[in-house]
Amino acid sequence: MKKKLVAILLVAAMVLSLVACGKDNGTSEPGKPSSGESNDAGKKYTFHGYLSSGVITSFSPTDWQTNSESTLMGPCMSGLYSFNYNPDAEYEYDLVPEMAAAMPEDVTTQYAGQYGIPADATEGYAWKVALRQDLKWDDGTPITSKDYAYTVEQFLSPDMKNYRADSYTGNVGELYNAKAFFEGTFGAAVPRGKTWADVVKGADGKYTIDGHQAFLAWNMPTTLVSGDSYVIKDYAVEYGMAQETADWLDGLMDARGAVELTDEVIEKFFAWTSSDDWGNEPEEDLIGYIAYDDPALACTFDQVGYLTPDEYTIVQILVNPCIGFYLYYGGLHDELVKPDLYEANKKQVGALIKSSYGTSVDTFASYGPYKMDEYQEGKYVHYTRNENWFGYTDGNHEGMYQTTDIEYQVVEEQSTRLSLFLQGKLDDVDLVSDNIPDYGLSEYTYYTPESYNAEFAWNTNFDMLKSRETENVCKTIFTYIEWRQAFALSLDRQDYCKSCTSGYEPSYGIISDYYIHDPDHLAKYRATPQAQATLCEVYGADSVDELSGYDLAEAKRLLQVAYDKCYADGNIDDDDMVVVEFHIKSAEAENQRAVDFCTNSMLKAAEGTSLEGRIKFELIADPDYYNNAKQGACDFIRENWGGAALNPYTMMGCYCTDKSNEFGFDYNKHTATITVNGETLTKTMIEWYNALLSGEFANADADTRLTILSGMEKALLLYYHIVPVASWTTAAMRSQRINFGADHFVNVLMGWVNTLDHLTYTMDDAEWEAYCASQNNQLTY
Amino acid sequence: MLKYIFKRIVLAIVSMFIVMTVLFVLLRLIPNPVELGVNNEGKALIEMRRAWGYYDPIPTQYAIFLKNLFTKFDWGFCTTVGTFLTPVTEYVASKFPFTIYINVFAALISVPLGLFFGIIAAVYKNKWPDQIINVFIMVFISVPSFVYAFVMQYYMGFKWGLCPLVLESGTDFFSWHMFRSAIMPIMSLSFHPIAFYMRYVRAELTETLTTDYMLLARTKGLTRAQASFRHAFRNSLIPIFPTILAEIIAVFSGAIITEQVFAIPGIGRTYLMALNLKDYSVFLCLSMFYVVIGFLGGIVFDMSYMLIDPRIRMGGGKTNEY
Repeated sequence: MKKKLVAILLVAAMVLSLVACGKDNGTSEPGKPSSGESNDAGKKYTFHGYLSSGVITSFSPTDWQTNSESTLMGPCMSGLYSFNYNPDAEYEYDLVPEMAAAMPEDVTTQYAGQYGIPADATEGYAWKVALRQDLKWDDGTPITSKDYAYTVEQFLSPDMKNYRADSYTGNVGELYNAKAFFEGTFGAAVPRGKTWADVVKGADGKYTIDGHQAFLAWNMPTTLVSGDSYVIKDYAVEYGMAQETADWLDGLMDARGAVELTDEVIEKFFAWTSSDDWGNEPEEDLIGYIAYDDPALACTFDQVGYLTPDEYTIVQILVNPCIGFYLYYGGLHDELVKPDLYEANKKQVGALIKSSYGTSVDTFASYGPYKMDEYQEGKYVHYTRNENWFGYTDGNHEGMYQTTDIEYQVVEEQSTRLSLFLQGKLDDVDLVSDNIPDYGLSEYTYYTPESYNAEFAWNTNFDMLKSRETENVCKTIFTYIEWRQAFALSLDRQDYCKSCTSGYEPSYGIISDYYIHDPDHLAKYRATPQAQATLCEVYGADSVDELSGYDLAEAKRLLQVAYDKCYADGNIDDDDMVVVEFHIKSAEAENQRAVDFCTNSMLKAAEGTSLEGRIKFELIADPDYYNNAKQGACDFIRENWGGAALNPYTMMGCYCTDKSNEFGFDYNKHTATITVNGETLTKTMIEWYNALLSGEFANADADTRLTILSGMEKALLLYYHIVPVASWTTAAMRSQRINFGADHFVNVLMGWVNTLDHLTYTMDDAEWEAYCASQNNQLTY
Repeated sequence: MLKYIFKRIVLAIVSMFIVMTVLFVLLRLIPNPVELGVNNEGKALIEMRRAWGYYDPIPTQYAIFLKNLFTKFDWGFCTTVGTFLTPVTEYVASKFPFTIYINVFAALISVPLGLFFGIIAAVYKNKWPDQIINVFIMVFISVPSFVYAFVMQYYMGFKWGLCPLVLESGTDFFSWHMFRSAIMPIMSLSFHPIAFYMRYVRAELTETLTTDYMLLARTKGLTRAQASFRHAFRNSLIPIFPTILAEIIAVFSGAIITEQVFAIPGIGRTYLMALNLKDYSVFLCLSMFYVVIGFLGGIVFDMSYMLIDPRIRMGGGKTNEY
């Protein structure tokens, strides 16, 4: 009896904690109950989303950085114009005014000769936008042109150095004088008529000219003693400056491209200008590389190309003319910060004045269809309808905005997200490759192509690879182009996408199929004859439909050639292994599969060759692998480039400028020969890039630019240091109660028409909860 | 005694300063490049960092840091982790309640359960209750807590619907809903300490139960239960008590993966993010917090021996020789 009692007590106590968890179907949702008013006879339609990262520091339009932060701002913003889905339109969208009262008016001729607009300009520089007169903040305060002007001034404030200032100081939306205003109180002037003796070192160690701070004009135009005008940074490394010194100067450079003069800067820079590499210049010639603060060049906001002629009119004056699609896609600025809140949250932080606007519900204001009413950092955010938003009553949004409430939870673990989704507590979930076998064919799964392209990249620097070799390990074989080409041909991209990704598509070019080169007509770069010819030539196919990029026999042949050459050069021995250290962000299973895939592909290619059984890829978990690749501290990485989906030309900057990760590939020396308009031209990759972006071909016709772009792509592909493998495709599932605006992927602009404004619900919250409960909170997808 | 404590505190302060200096320097030596981005948007970040002294020489940065620390107790502000520009101390303090909430319950469950089952195992040594408990000890000790987290989340949360899958939002720590949503993380963090206490108590108590004074106690006429509790259990607590103190200190420590699985916005996840995203201020502040806790814990740990066993004396050059 006693034993039984002890046993019962023991078991009872062991499961004590388990029995404490009684089943409760009450209000135990992971999120807080929402409080928004319904727009459908009291019904509530709450969109339950998630944020995959809890890294949210600011959702201020001026300072946001991450996707999560952008997601948080979205429901509270409204643009001047928007692209609305219209299946009957030529490109399946209409461009309609939102905050604007009408389409913009081109007033270039009115301002010609002023604000940097050429006197003979007729279009594209100056745009007048009339605002609606019923615009309000979420607290009912009217929104006028002054709010817009205030916002632009804050974005560009030289005292704040806001992260998002770049949208005003560059690209298609660059405002006249925005850069000058942002870059500081003073402009930097070239000290004409001065000599090196005029550069004086003060007691505080600072160098000045006539009492004004002196700089090394590192990345700004200056006039050399010889009289030539150069940006010296563009030539330094090419003419012998150590990369380390150039990087160091880059790190010291301010927004103007100037580096404050110090003894160390002078010593290192003079060591180079006085060397044989640059021309043994004497010290007094240093004046040719100097700039100084010039108060006369101070720029005020009044001089910036953003005018407010009256309370409901704004005029934007752009540095470069912009018409058509791009005007609405980045050309016209429409972000807003609420002036009183923004000011109230300003404080001195170090040497800057910053505003903590957009860090809590109390420091953030909405001018969009929803307003944030609850925010818990790193955990949860909730929105309700902003009843002061004009769109609910203007008659232009019929059938839209069925969603009454929005909530986002931070859920970083994929298995947790999927479980929440299957319980009906999330309305969408991204899928990873592990989920594809179970849900890849579900009718609720949708695939969305993205701009990003996954590519393998090799370190091709002989010395660096030699230094990384250990006993019986060869790495210098990567410098042989045959090795890299063999690798490219050994990859069965279809198989890679199937086994290592969540539904990615095979990719053969450096620029993915997503890129649009002519947005007015939504014309894809990859569909152009130039781009198709490039792929056919590189992969030896008659048409792009026949591309596979997989040729095991040729890979074997090339591997043997690579080995023979390497052996003949004494770089590999009979018993050496080829070990490829594959640096990748983390050691998670998906990444390990990619590493194994590479090993297996190459082992298969090596069968029957001298390298049979002698090749191995090793996973090195390395969160900083991009930077390590840049330094040559990796053999091999998988990189992903994308973004700016409507401008494929800028993509070349990822491979032909200092952004590139491929150590050993010298874009300053590697050349491409391209026939442009009947003329065969040979330039280095960086020269082609500059010519395309800002030089002689920047304003050339589309055909010419496409020819150059595809020529550059071909030159990169044929060096095989970059091997495209897959273009990103996001696989996700929507909940059973949600429908998108379209039942297919429409285009780059519209996607699946799955933005909040177009979501429709087959059940309200109460019905959905009851339905999920009836399914035992385990929905079948 | 006081001299000994004073000496320990002074040594701890010196050690903390050394640790802080080393941490500060090492942290800033980690490469922290700015990704310029396709549109060079990173340039503004470079400017921001310059204005905040990131590119100053490290001794200059440290001097400024020390000045702010000792004159204003200013540990800096959040940059890449937490709420932008918020003072780090404020932000870190806002994260502790979640971690403490989970850990306090875990400690409240694991200590009594561990002691109870440890006693049962010792009293019934080599009998079937002991063998059952040993099986649990083996499982709980050898499997990491995050494995339980996943298993419980799937079965208890998803399959059986007993608990919410993630921690409730908000800060209403005393509500039933919040507690219910915390049950799974609490349990997953409790299993390991429960097993630890079971094993420790069992070992200590088993040894004590076989000592001569236990035989004496029984011959004096005490029942087995009386002798076990009054003599054996109390004596076996001497080495166990400091570990319970350590458990109390451990309520401040975060559990990175468990927090991630159950979406707990606690300190463990924050600490990892601060390191990954190079938020110098958050990482240094948190590191120093744990260093302080560690040193304090060490002192309290040592002193606790003295309090629970008068035979133990520390410092003063005296010995305990008889």
